Amino acid sequence: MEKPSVNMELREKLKVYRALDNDCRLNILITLSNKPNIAFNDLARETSIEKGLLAYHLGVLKDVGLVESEYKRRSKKISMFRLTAKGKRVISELGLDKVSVNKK
Amino acid sequence: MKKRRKLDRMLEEQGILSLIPEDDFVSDDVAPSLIEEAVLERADVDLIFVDTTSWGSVTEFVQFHDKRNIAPKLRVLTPYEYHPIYGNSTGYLTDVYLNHVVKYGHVYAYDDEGKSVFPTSERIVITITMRYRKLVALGKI
Repeated sequence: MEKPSVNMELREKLKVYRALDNDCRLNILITLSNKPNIAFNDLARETSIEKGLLAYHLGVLKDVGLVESEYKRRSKKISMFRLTAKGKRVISELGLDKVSVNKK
Repeated sequence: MKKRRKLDRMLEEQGILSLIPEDDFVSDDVAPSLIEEAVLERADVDLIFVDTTSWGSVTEFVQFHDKRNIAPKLRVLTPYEYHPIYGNSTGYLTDVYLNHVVKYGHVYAYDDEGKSVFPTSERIVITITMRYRKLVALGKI
């Protein structure tokens, strides 16, 4: 029996779905939707996610193109995080742009 | 940043071009993440050093550690306490570093405070970069 071929576009979509299927990452996306251009430490405080774990999840979200970071020169807060256009679209489709996060 | 800029100057003195994302990947028109990935994928970028003491760098390592055109170029520098083999830490990140060690081998422990036998991050970057250049010149890479 022939194996079905999975094209690249489908693979990319599946990566995004896998990235969304995680409470921490959903928390991060909702927070970024409500507070764009936020520094890492502030994002850790807002989401109550331990920094190492937050860094890992942000990396996953950047990998699938939902989040991006911007470098600010001559500032202690070098990396500012925000949703990409794709991230905003996904958040809107899921209705998460109207949600706030309950902190533990 | 001071450490990176110092390394940048040291490498430049040796005729090696280096890029610092915070200085070189800033644009008003294009998202910085897109610039960074496009540059790092280029064939003329040989080595990418990631120092995991900065959370921004950690997110970038996680972002790139499995990308086919970038992962083999990554050289991860971590304080020796957090190295997946030599250190004692556990967690998601240590797990990702361990995967990278197993798959690519390039995770280096450093000690910038002189508390152990591990070299400084600066020494690791210079040593590896200089040797890499030599091997390329000899046609061995």
